[in-house]
Amino acid sequence: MVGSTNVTSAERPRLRSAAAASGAFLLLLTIALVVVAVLSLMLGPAHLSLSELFLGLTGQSETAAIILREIRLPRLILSLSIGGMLGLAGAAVQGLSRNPLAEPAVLGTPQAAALGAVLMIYSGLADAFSLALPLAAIVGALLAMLATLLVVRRVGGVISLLLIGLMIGSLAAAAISLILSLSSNPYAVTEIVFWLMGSFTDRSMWHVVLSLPFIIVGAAALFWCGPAYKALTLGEETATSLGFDIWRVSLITSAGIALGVGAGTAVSGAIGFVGLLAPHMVRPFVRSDAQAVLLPSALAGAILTTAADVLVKLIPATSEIRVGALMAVIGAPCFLYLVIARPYRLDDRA
Amino acid sequence: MSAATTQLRIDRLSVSLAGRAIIEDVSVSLDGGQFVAVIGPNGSGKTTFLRALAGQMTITGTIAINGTTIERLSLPQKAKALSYLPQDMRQPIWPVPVRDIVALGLMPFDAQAAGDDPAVERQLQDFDLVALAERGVDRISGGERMRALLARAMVGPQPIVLLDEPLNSLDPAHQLRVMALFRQRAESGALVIAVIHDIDFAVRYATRLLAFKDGRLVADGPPQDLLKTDQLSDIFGVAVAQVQTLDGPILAMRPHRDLDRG
Repeated sequence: MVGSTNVTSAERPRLRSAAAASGAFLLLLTIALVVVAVLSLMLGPAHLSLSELFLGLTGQSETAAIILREIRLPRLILSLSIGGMLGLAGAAVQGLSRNPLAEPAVLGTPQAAALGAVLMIYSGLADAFSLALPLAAIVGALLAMLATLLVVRRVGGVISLLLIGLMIGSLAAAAISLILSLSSNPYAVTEIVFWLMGSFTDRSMWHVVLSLPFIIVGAAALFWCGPAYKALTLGEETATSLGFDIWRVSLITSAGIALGVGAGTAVSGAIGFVGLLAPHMVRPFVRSDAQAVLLPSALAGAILTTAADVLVKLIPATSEIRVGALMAVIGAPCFLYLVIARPYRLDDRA
Repeated sequence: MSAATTQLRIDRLSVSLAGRAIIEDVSVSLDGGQFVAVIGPNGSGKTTFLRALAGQMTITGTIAINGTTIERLSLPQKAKALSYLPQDMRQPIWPVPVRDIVALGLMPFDAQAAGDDPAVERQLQDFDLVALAERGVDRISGGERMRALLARAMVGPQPIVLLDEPLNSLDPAHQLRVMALFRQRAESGALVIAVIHDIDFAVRYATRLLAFKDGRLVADGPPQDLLKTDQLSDIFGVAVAQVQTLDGPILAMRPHRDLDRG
C-alpha cells in the first residue's frame, strides 16, 4: 500500500542479515564442536597436551597414538555421532508432529532398544558374546518400528503414529521394570541400571563400526524429509497440497529414527534430553522453519553430548558418572529455562 | 502453462464420509478465466467439494484437469496444477517469518524457494504484508495471518486456485482488496474457485456462482441470472433484497418472514 516500496528496500538488508546471522551461527556451532572434540581427545585418566595430541594423531608418538586409537577416538566418534543423531531426530519429530515437546522417545525407539539390551544382560548373553547387546538393541528398535507401522497402517495419521509409538515405548519401559524386579541376580540388576543411564566409557572401534553405518543411513533419511517438515508448518492438508506424501514422510522418519537412534542407544545406552533440548537451543538463532533447524540441531546435539562426556571425565568421583544421568541433570533445568524465557524473538529484534 | 485453456470437468462426483453422503452426484464443467464462488448454507458440502477438487478425498465419479483424471496425477503434479488454501489452518507453531510462509507456496516449483524470491515480494505488496514481512506468524493478528496464508496460496503460477473461506477474519478494506485480487487472477486466465459466505461479495466479484444445498449442486450460473429468480432466498432461507447504489446493486439479507408478501 502506501510507501510499500520504501519499506521493501529497508527490509531487504534485514533479510540478508538474517541469512548471514544463521551462517555465522552455524560457524559458531562448528567451532564449539571442534573445541569440545579436542577437549574430549585431550582429557582422560592420562591427560594429553595439545602437542601430544598432535603427535599421537600423526603417529609420531606411539603411546599417545594407542590411547587415541583404542580409547579416545572411538569414544569421541560415538559421542559426536550419537549426540548428533539425537539432536537431529528431535528436530525431525518436532517438525513432523508440529509439536515442540516431541522427542525421539515418542516413537518408542530408545525404550525398545534398551529392552533388547537389557534382555541380553539379564540372560547373560551379553557377557558370553560382546556384540550380543548392541545387536539385540538394534533388533529391538527395528521390531518396535515394525510393530508401530503395522498398527498405524490400520489407522493412519501422524498423531496416531506418535501415540502408538509412545505406547510401544511405555510397554518396553514396563518390560524393563518387570525384568529388573524379576531378576534374582543383584549384579545383573546393577549392570542393567548402569547401562540404562548411558555412557561412552570403554567403547571400541567395534562399537563405531556397529552403529555408525545405521546412524548415517538414519540421518540421511531425516535430512531427505527436510522439505516436507518445512511444508508441514501449515498443517497436513497444506503440506499435501504442496506435493508431499505425509504418510510416506512419517514412515521414512520413523524408520530413520529407528535405525539411527536405535543403533545409538545400542552402543551408548539411553541418553535423554538431547533430542528435546538441541532443537530448542538453536531455534532462536536460525530462520526457524522446521527444515532449517535440522543441521544446527544435529550440531548442537553433538556438542551437548560430547561436552557432557567431557564433564564426566572432569568431575572427580570414585566411579565415572554416567553421561545419560549427567545429561538429565543439566538438561532439565536448561529446558525449564528455555520454556520460561521463550527467546523466540529472531523476527522482531528491533 | 496455458492457463486460459484450463478445463476442470467434474462428472457425477459423490463423496461419503463414514457412510454419510456429503456430496451427491455433482456434474459441472469449469474453465480458466472464471472466478467461481461456491456458496451455500453451513454443512451443504462446500468444503468437501473443494477438498475433493484438491484431490484430498476418496471420491466416486471423476474429476479431470484438461482431460486427465486427478487420480492419475502424482502429488507433485497436482501441486503444480492446483493451489489450495484449506480451511483447517491451525496456528503455525514455529515462529516462521511471514515472508518465508509466503515462500512455502513456491515449493512445488522450487523446493529451495526462499523468502527473497521476487514472486514473494509481489504477493507481500498485493496482500499488504510488506511491513510484517520479517515478523513471525506467531506474533501477528488473525486477519494478518489470513493474508499471509492467502499470499502463500496465490504466490505460485498454478492454473487452478482453490480457496476455502478466504475472507475469514479479514477487515472490510482487505476483504474488498483480496476479492479484487482473486478476480484479477481469474482475468489473467486462471480458474479461481472460492468458498464464500458473504453472498453480496460473491455476487459482486465472482463471474459464476455454484450453490450447494444438502450436498447437491442446486444452482449454477452468472450471479445476475441467479438474482433474477428467488433461488438464493430458497437456498439460504433468507430474504435477499437488492439495494441500488451509485456503485451498482448491493445485496441485503433479512429474515425470511419479512419477505412474505402474502
